[in-house]
Amino acid sequence: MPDAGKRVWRQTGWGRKIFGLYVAAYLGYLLLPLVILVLYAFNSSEYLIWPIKGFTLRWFAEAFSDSRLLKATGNSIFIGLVTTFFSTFFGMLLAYGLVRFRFRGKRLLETLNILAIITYGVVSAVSVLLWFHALGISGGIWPTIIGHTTFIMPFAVMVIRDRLLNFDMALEEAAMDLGANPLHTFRDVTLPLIMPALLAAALFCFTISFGEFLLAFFLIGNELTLPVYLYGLMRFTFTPAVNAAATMIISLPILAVIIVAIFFRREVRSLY
Amino acid sequence: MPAIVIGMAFFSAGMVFASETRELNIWTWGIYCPDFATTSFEAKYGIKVNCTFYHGNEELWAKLHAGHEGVDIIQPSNHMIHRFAKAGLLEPIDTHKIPNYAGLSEGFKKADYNIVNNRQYSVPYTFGIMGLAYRTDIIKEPPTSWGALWDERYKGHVGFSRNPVDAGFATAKYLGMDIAKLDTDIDAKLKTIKAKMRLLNPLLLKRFESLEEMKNLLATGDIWITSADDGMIHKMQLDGQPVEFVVPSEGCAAWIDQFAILADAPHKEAAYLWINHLLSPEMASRMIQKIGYMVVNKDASEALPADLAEIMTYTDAETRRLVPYPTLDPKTSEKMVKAYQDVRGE
Amino acid sequence: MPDGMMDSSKTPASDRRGPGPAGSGGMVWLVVFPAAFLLVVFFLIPMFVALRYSVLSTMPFFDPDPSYTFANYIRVLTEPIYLRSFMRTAGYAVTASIISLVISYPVAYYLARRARRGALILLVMLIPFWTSIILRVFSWKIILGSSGIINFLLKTAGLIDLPVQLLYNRTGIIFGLVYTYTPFMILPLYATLGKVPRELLEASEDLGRNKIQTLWRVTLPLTRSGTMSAVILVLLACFGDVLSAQMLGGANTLMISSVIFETFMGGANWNVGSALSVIVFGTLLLLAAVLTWLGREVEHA
Repeated sequence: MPDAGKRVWRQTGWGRKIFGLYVAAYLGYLLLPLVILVLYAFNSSEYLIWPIKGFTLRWFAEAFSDSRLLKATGNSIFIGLVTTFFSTFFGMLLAYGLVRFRFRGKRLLETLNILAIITYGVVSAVSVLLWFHALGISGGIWPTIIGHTTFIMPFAVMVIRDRLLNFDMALEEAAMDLGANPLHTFRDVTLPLIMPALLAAALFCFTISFGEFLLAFFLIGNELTLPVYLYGLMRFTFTPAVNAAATMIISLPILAVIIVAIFFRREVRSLY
Repeated sequence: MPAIVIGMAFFSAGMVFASETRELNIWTWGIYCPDFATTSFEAKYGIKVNCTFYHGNEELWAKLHAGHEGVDIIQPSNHMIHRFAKAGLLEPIDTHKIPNYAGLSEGFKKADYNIVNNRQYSVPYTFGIMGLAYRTDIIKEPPTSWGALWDERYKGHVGFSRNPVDAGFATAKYLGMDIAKLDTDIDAKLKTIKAKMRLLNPLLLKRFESLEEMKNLLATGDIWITSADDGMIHKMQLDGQPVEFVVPSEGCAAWIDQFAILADAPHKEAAYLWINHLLSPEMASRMIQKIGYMVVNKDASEALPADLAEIMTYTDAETRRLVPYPTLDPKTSEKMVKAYQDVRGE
Repeated sequence: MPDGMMDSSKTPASDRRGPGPAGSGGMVWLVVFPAAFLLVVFFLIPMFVALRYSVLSTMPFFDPDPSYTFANYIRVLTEPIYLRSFMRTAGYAVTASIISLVISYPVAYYLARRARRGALILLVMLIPFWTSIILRVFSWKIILGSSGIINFLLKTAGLIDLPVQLLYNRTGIIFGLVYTYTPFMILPLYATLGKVPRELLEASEDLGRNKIQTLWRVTLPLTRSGTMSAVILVLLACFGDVLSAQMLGGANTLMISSVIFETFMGGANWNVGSALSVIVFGTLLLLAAVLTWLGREVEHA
């Protein structure tokens, strides 16, 4: 049905435009605080008053020379990368197991997986704190990694599982009919097909871990992650050095997106 | 024979290394370690200064107990000195090792709070008054009493401290109580204090966690009147903000931050040098201008630039209304914390 | 747990097929073991640890041999601060969830109908997350404050004399919650809306219905449980959210999440805090179960 797409959008010339405008407005709303954040990094006054008083770069100098900020950022990146690796890897395994097999305890795992996502909050974070406390483990980088992986992995499972459900098992069966064993089948057939989902999951996991506050706050002990450090700053310092730090941090992915947009124009257009 | 010479060479070299390494470790409030002080100190004495910050006296107490290896100087407020000294944490101070001690304002030289068993355990550095602050452009008649916080006209725009003890002191003063004697009959007193605090609840906008937060809330006009420490208000005035500090007629508490040297500090000589350095008129003067709080050095406080002097001079009447932040029985503090939590929950 | 969050309009592959490739059984456990280990040891067990601490009189490091007691639960259930802040939080959560749903649904619908561009937009939506949520919520202070952008615009337009108080009260918190959680609502909504088969929508339009009727009679019923899952996600998340309350809340907006947070942040009574956590968690589970049952899919001819 060649004009199927058109029929669904029939009579909606202006309707579609309004829709598009609404979504654009929503994106604007989502990004507005970011813009404000960056703007105030250059504010010469340290008060959060609109409009901006003047222009200065001194907060950037202050942020650069803040060794604790740099350490916290480094920790966040490290924790993020390790969490991403394990979340994506274990998540892929779990997703595969849940989709392709039937086994005892499957229902339990599915339930736990969903519950971990739904109940994430101060209660979950505090419970993990109590558990480590009971084990006699004081906080640190690795307890935080464990906490993050446990709660972020379910997201990876969701994403990968979705992809696994939506492609034809016939391909896998064909491979095995041809004599490949399950491991080879996985490596040569399944893996390439779910790769987009794996990448999406990895990106997702890193993003969540990097900005995560609650688990990190309770599990990081004497160390710092970026959100935890920023929280402390916000309670007691309040200078735009915080904004400057944030600006530096988000400039990287934004730069990446801009580069992709400019140099990979063609590939991006083909997505439409 | 050569063996003995070599042995003695090593021995004396060891003695040189056994004397203090050229560094100093300080645990202090966020504002007491500015670059101009550390840079000039390092240039003068070749001793590297490392500062770590805390944001509350109880936090300092907890941190010390969690482990304080290598720490030399701490800066608790006056009311904590007895507790710290009795716990054996502090080294008695020999004021003769601090030439600039002579330059302290008289009232601060001899005080109950830093003397335990006839020995002095700390040296005063700065003081701050915990009074009222308000927006001069929004509130036209200057408030004079703590009662201004309870004024219905300011409903929804009142700020108050989240610290249970500070809030308790303010309310107690408003009720005419003697905060130095709060320990006696505390239960009955707390009942009255709680009742008063409850009346404030519907008028409050925010209980701020830190003075920084208060500063911004007052600057943006979200709050019009609040409890506040004077130094922060002075800073705001220097920034051109339309605010004013008030020493309430009923009186209020004033904290005096101290220098104290830990009993097991590894760099005691360096510590004395630092204390002397910061108490010099020049450093004191610069610090006052930077943080807005008064440093107890007589020359510095008398030699303030005109604009600062205008803001920071207190009349005798005002100074008489001040009470040094009193030491409370830990049980009393606990009760105040619980009382405040009850009030907050309603 | 019903399939709300999972693929609901297709029979899951696992039900269509039996056990997988030869040599499964034991091998499965090898495959899922790491994930299972994490979920059981670091998600499930902590719940029981909290349960245990909630019935102890003190924490073990104060007294190595504490006694069992219900005193903590009695405190939580009788002292007004806990019930009041819980009910208050429930109010905020419901309000925020409804507003989020209204805002998110059209966005998710648009994204689902324009599959490829939709994916791109989702990527754009991910960018703000690189900055910690802390900072973005914090920025709302500049936008909503008494000297903020909105009040500035209203004043300049001559619409108001005195600033409107949008922060440090209920309004501020709801703003923060909605802002934080609409992305978390858009994603599952997008997923579930995307699974409505095109053919069904076209068939509906062939029958003469317009878009709104199609939405009401076809899309909504089919995505009922998926939508409910999204709502549950956000509703529960609001109960556990700490940042909006801490940064945009005021003196009279104490949320139960803040109470728990502050209990464990300082040295307050962790046993009471554990009891509180257990009760809150139990209530949330109950709520989720009830709502899922209510939102379960009705079979469609």
